[in-house]
Amino acid sequence: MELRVETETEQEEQEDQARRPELPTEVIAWLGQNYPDDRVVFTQYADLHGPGHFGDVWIVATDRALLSIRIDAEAIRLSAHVPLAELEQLELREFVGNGRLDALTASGRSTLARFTRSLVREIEASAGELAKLVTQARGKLGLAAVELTGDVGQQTAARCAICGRVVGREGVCVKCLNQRQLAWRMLEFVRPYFWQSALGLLLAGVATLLQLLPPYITSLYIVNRVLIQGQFQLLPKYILWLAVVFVLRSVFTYARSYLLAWLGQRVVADVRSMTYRHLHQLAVGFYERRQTGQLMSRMTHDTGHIQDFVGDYLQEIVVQSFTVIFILVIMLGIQPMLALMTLAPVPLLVLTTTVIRQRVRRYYRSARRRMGSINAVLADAIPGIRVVKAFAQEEREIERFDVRNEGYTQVSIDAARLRSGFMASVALITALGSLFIWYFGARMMMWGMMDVGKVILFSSYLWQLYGPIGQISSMYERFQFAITAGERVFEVLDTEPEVDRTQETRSATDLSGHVVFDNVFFSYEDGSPVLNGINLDVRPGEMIGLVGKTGVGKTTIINLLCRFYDPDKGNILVEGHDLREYDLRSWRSQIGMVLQEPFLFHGSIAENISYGRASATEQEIIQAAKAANAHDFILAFPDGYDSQVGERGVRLSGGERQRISIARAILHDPKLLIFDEATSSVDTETEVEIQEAIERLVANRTTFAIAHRLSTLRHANRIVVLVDGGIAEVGTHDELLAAGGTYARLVTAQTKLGTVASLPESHEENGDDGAPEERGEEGDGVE
Amino acid sequence: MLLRSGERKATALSELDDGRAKTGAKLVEFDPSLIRAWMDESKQLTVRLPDGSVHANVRMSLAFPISRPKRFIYLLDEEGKELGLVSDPRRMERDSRDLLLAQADQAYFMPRITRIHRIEESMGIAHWEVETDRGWSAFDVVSRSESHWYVGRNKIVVRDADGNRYLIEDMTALDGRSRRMLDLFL
Repeated sequence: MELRVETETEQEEQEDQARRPELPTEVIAWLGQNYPDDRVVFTQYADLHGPGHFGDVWIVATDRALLSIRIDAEAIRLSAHVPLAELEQLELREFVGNGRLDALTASGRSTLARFTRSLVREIEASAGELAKLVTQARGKLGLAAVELTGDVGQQTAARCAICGRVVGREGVCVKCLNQRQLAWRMLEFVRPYFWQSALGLLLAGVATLLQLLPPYITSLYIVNRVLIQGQFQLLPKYILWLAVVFVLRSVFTYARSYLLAWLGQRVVADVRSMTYRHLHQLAVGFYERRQTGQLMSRMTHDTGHIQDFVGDYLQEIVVQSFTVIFILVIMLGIQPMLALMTLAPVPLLVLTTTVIRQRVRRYYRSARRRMGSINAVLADAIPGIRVVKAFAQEEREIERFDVRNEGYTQVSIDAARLRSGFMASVALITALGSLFIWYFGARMMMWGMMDVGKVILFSSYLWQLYGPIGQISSMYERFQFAITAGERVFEVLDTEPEVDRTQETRSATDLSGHVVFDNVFFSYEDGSPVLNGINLDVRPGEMIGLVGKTGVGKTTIINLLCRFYDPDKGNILVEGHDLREYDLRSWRSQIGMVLQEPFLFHGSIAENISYGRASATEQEIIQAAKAANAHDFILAFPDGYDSQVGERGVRLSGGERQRISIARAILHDPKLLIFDEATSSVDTETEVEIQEAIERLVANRTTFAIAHRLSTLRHANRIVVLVDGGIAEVGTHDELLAAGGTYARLVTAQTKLGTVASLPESHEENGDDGAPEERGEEGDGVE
Repeated sequence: MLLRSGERKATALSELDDGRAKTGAKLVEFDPSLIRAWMDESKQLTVRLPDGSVHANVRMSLAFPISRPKRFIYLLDEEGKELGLVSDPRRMERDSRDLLLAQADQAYFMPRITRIHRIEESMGIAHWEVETDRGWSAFDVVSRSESHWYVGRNKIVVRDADGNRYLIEDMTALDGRSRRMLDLFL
């Protein structure tokens, strides 16, 4: 049961050879007995017996036949034997929770193996290989090829590429991390602060020493010399020593903790900033594969763990080790025998700490998850409060909450109980040490090997020694925490930015806006083909409407135009040159976008309008807003163009946001314009204003417009109807309507819907302005 | 409750509703030196535009009241219809300019905070006592993030519970004590 890799095929093959379980010796022996003339060319492991019990099965291909061999408790059995000469087809089938590989012959079907879902990927790969081998073997006999049919479509868990273990959502396999290398990489972040770190360590060392001095002075000088030997005249001197040590200790401790906290914060600020900068350089595809929340947590949570590593963890391990080493040196120097006895309970301490700490942590983890589920209930019920009230389900929601609240409380109480027990045990073990000290110390005193002061010294150091030992023993776990967090941050930092930019040689300036799609093919990473040979010649200044069902490739065309992706085959030519030859940033600066849900940033309206051109003058901003029919409502706000948008600012309606985004596009003055459903979320009246703004914007610019509401495309020079990733029809609104094809059917359908959906409103005469998806501007609907 | 900035200027709003006040796509900008402004007998602002037309009871609207407080003044007629833009009043004839700026100051009143004496927060309300360019003032701020915002890097607008606006022109220019109090509020 090894090796299930499923991302990269090359890796799969490599790993297959390296890690595939070996055919057991008893099976080899059995084969030797029963098929002495066969030569084994291929083996594959499967994990279900025929009737559906877990158990080992081996698919073996020899140079003559395919065998399925079952290993039972007491015997090895042959469950299928298919001579290669008779084999016609291999069939792989997938069911819920398991799958099956069958061999088909003229006389019927034999099941080679059943297997659980954990093996589907592996068996799919090896069945392909098997089909190839068998075809070769049959080829020598002059027989037809054997085909593999059926496939496995469903996703299986993400697994570590190295060891095959299932990995979590973060995609990091803790066991396979090269921890030392990662720790070094994390230390790289500290390098710019080398001197500060060195100073920090120095301070830590001195502070630790100063920590150990007071017991030394009190026991060996004040107790021994003053109290026991009666040299009272020395007391003021010793007290002065103590006072000096206390002051220095405070000063150094302050300096150390301040410096290391400073260091931790600085380093993690660098990491955050570096990560964020890198995030901006990554391709759009990177974001499509990940959830926003996950990435945000990398920026805040995971970088926080790195701070723990460079700030707390390094600091503590140094301080604690210093403490332990210094104390041991002093103790061994004074009385080695007693020192060893003092250390006797240490193994017990380490054991208790590791075991109980782990268990406590498990409780806390559970408590955290339960708190998460309480949050989930709240996140459900509070936004949905109208539904709850409308259906009078308050009691049910309260019940739901209470159950989780109770669960959380129970676990937290258990955790507290365990923790209290832990503290008590540690105290007890430490006390055990002090029993040893006082018993053996007192005996040694009687034999004249010790004096009172030394025994007291031992006893005070005991308490200072056990704390750090307990902490050091729990450190590995915390270290792993930081390391996995580091790995997640490094994953972002190591991701290659953007599309391939090696061919860029020219800058996209002075474009006329001539764009040609030359036989463009594209499919996304998951393999679903989207565009199958798009050919389209767009003249400068032309407006193209893209029409088609969801998923037909409209947005993909836009994505390719923006060079979020490059075509798999074919070219996009701009002014006769391949798009890949243009500098990416200069090309994108030629593109203006107006989206269905216009995105406005926190900041003033003026800042939002001038987003694409920060150098714009106030006059230009006003001019753009006027052209977008936005000026009047903007000036009506108390703060005018300085009004804040976003949560803390003015409430803008969908139509107002849309017009601001159009003003932004107008000011940006792009050669190429992209409209993605720009009017779908606005009411009809505003739509007229927006249409007017759009017409001003579109003039003299090459425009691609996606629309479900076909009325938006009335002014398009040509409408391109996409079906299954290819172009089905091209023409003007009137031409296509007259042709009576797909477009005409869409228009008729929308007209019908439009008249039904919008009876109370008076629509435009042509009536193709059906708006079944018309929404309220505040969008307070339940998702 | 604090005044939400969803508030709109009363004058302009009524006109917008019936769709009359739409101004079209052209930016009308006046040559400031050719504008004259005076108070008529009933103490109302009267303006003669460069084209010679005279408008009584003129109102105004500042396009960039925070980032460009003394510039980009929109003149509106008494019905709230837009007359045009005065981009740079400094180029106006002196008396007219003083009058216009005084009116603009009234149209958008925002004292500048020069020193902070005290910010005391309790139960979600922050009580401020400040020195401004218009004298000493005290006000209460509902200490939610909506009550202040940055303009650029160092400029901060504070809005008190009643909707009055205060400006901190440059937070780095404040004295140390004011700065510390502000930092803890932000």
